[in-house]
Amino acid sequence: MATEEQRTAAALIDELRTAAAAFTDDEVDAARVLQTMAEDVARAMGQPIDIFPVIHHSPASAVQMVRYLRRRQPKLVLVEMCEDLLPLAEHLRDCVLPVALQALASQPVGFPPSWAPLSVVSPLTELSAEYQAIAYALRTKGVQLRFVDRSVDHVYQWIDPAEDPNAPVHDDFDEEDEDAIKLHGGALGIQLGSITPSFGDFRDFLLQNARMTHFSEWVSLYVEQPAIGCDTISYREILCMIGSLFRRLGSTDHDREETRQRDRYMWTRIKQALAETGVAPSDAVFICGAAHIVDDDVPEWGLDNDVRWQELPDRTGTSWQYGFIPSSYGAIELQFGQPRGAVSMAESEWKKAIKQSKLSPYTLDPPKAKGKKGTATKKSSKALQPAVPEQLNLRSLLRDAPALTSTDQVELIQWCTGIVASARKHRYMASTADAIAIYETSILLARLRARNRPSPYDFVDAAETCLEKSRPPGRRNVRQLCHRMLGGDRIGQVGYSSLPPLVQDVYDRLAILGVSATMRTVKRVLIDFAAKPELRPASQLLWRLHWLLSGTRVARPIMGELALGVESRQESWDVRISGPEQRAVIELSFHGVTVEQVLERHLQEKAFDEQAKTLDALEAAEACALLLDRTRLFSRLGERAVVLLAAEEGPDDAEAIFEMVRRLVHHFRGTPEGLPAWLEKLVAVGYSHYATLLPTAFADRGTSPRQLAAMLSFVFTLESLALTMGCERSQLLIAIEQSGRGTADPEKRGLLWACEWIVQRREEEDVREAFEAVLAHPLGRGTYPAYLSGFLRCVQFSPRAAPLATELLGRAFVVLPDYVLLPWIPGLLTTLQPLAADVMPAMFKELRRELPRAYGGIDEWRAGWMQEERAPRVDHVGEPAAVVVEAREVSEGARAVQALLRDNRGAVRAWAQAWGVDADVWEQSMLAVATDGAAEARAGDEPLPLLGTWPASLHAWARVLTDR
Amino acid sequence: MSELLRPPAEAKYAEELQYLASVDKGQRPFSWRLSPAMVRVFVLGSRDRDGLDRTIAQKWYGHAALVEKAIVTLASDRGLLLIGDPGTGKSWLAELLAAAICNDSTHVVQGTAGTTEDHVKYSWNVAEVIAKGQSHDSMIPSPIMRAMKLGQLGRFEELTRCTSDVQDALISILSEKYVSIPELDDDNVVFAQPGFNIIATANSRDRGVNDLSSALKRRFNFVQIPVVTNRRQEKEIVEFRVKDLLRRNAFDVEIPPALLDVLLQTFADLRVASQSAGSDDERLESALSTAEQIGVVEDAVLHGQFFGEAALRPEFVARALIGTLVRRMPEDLNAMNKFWHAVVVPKGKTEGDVWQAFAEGGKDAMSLHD
Repeated sequence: MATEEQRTAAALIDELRTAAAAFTDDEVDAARVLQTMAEDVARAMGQPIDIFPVIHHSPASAVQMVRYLRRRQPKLVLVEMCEDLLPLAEHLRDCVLPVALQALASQPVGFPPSWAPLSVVSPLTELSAEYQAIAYALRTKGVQLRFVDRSVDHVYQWIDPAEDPNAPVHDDFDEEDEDAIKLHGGALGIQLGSITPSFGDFRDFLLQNARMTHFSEWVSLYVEQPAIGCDTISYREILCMIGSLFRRLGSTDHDREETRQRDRYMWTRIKQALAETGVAPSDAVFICGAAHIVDDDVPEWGLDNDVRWQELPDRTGTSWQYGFIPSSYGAIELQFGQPRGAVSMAESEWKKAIKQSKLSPYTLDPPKAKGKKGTATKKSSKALQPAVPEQLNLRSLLRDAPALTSTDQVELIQWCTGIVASARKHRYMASTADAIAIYETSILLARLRARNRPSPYDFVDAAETCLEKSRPPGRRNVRQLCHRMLGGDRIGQVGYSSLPPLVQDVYDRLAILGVSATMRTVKRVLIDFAAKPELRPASQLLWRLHWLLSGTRVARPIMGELALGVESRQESWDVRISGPEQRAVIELSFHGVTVEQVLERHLQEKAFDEQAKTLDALEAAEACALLLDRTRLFSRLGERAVVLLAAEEGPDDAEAIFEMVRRLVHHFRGTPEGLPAWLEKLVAVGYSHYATLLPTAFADRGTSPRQLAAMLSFVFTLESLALTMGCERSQLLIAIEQSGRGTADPEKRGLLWACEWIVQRREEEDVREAFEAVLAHPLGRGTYPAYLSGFLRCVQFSPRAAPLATELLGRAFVVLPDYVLLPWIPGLLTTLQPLAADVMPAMFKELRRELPRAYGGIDEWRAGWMQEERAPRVDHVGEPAAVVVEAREVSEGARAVQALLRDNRGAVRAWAQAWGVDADVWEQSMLAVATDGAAEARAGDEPLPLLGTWPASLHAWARVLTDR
Repeated sequence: MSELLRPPAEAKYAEELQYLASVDKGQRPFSWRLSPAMVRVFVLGSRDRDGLDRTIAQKWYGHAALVEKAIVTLASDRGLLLIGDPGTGKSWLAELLAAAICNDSTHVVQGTAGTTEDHVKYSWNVAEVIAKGQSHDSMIPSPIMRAMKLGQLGRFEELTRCTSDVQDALISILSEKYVSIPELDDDNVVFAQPGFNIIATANSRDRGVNDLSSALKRRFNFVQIPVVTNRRQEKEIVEFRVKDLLRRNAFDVEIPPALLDVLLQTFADLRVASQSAGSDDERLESALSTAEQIGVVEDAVLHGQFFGEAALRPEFVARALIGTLVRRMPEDLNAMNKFWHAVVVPKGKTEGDVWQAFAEGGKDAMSLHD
């Protein structure tokens, strides 16, 4: 005797044959296609196990699923979801939907390295049919739940290695709320019941004929609306037919082949599950995407055979981590290429259908409420039957679109007035007249598109036509306002007890600050450590989160500083660990059990990566010192920096390395423990490394003067420490000697002269002369600024060069013609700007000393070097002392000594000659000593060390001269 | 009509319109000659599902939803304002809509800086007024007023080129649907007949020159016409318009598909280059619209026909492209030179003969440009 399904199928086949004959010239082919579809439907409906085809986030599927489950009460629920995600299902009860089941592998094995990290998400909403099935299975005693699809590992295995699984799905997405729609990050989305035709021409043809833009609009009108109110059998038939159509005509060969593979896998698992559980097929239901109802020559398909995939493909050695992340409607739309607002509109359809049918959807209450009899478990006797008339069957639904009911009319009017009110709030000039116009336009659009009632898409188009003028007056445009009004986005939340230990630990430790898992908004935290020192650990945790999740807004410091040697007294934070930001914290848990463990791992990865550079290791070491109290780790990271610095090939990061090392040295010198051993070693290695690199760097065009200055800063600033660690200055001297041969770049030469002067390989006067020579050369004058820019850089590591630098700079402004000077000034400013902290104080100090103390003296003022210039040099002109005396204020005693020396120049020169010292230099030095004292002595002049060594002799001579 | 240089759409497609009217069983608003669904078919072409026993060619290429919005607006109480960059087909769409709805697309006011309220409403035949005084006989109705009287669609081109006071003359026409003629003592109001509405166009590049008043804005529904960037659609448009041109001139020229692809790709690349340019001087002044591509092909065909070989060669197209797009000197030429050598010339070396000839033709054209 024929069953109800068989009778329906036979009638359907007849119906379709008649349709083929009526509508096409190619009756044979069309009939064949339609008959195949009808046979697919009959085969699927005739299986011993109920196959329940669904569409992802489809209100019709969800409503029909509830209806089916209430009536049939299956004992085994088999779902087309990745089998390894099953353990997560139990934890759904702690979550606020939408959430996504996530599997993540940060270190994939057997996949192209460019794919890392591998991440798969499977989002669920309340209106997902699979969620209803899961909720039913978990809430009902004696019901077993199985996921039967391939594992997430297979998902990636079956992707063509030439493809990029991380490629964005939908580039041109209208981003209204960035945080919410990016919740899934770069994960690969998998969804149960995707029916979007992958064959582009087929899809375009379908949409053009339906006069629609988006496939979801087509599904909503031609599948959802008819299927939501019909009986379950008709619903299954409709979905089976749609699945058959899209599988056979709308899929590319590649997609069909993948679907076949999955069918083989799933039917093997289904057979295994039935055998293991002993549940009769008639007591089981297989929930799958509509495309899977077609056997498509898959030998394993169906229960009328016992063919199984004998050797299911193995998983790779990749270690997968599983968990939940919060999702949102926007993120789902973005992930699966749906138009903005599609899921919101589906949700409003779902709510309306649930209300009309008086069904109670299945929900998963938190464990606390488990003992109570929730509304979800209550079964209304009315709910067992569809609320819509039973005469709505497949054939009538295929013929007619639903009429505009009075409820829909009221709803449309509500939408029209609602959008006008919303637009007005957003500064649109919208009035009741606009509401009327939108209503009228919606109806007209629907008629024009051959629909009996306006769909939400028609309404949105109408609202946009009537309200949107040249540009939106506020932040949101009319389309966005419509989507908000029609449901808006929803952001899910993963409940506390479903969270991984790390996230629970974070919530526990931050509870003292009032931060909780249920918090939906930004928490502004104010911490006063003087009043509440017990908050210090929570603050440290926030700093660790801030460091680990620097690209997010999880923990954002408003006030307070994290630096070596600095301890904040007050801090202020913006904390967002729920909603969209929760995902970032959850993903941390894939790397460790506590934040500290993850941080330690990150620091080690940063420093010990194959591509790591010295700076990475140093940054990791500094972060370790700041954020973690781990001495051994700190030493390991530091030692790694030493190794990397010794192997570093160029001076690329010299500036940053110097800054970092200087900061560390400065800090640790002030601590009771002193410098760590690795830091001392690093300074020694750095001194030797950079000194050795100098000749190459001076000659190399690719090395900038700035980088050279950074290397020299390291060498000269940390020289004393390096020398105590066994380094030799001779290494530096040789390097500087060698450097002079390689460079022709004016800026580098200026810097080199400075170095030579600092290490006493060049006299101050020689430096002046070198600069004078540049100025004197008619063709070389234009390069004077470049030489000077180089020289100025030395002030940052040798402040005593400031007087000479100031003099040379002043000389440039006096001597250089405007056509050279004016173009140089911007360059000079950009050179000096980054050196402001190091160079400018010394130069300002020098200027303060030079400039007159009052404005009154400004007219007569002349720079010291200008007066010296006017005065002849010692070996050319006879009275240099007078010039010097005029230039500087000297004491009475010094004047007396100067006078004495001036009066006895012959004797002074004779002594110099006796000691084998250049008489001119000696004379100048003696005068300088007399003027500024020995403290201002110049290191390059040889007599001064002599005098410094034998002060008693000097005094003795002074006495002799005075007595005479 | 066949002797006209450019017949209006209702004349050009008279046969199609007549056929559509004969098979149209849909409800027609006011005095429309076609139902909205048939207007859609006329503009966007027929599909199998329309159930027509002949094919109606597509005449305007773009998003179908835009056309639908435009049609329903014209059936409503509000005027239609088509906004878009130059060359996006606003005026063509307006003409097609007017032709389909009222079989007359010639009630056109061209907006300029010199347009006055008289051009929008009415003016007087001065000699007649002196001879017989002011009367309906001596009044010269504007195209808009003629459309009102006939219950047809009036068109207002480049609305934002007019000054605000002229624009605001439309407010009462769109609200009250009549025009008062205070100079006349009797019968001094011209009422619009059912079916009257206005299709205005505005150039989005003129935004800010003469912004519409709020009062006028709310009497118009705005429909934005974007620049077509879909390659397939763009190709269809260019082919459609160029075939039209060839037919008009009775030329027998085949446009090689490979050459058309080169042109489309060059425009696509130019748009990307234009978007990434740092300043206006580095950017071509042109909107790089589809209309300009049509212009390039037209120019190349004409040049080939009259001064060269009958066949369309890549060099002609390249020369026409340079001639069409280089307007400002030297800014446009500099920008084009940079683009040509960075994008087109390398393709000429790697992508085959057509690209090579195209690249060379462009270089020659730029070197001769003065």
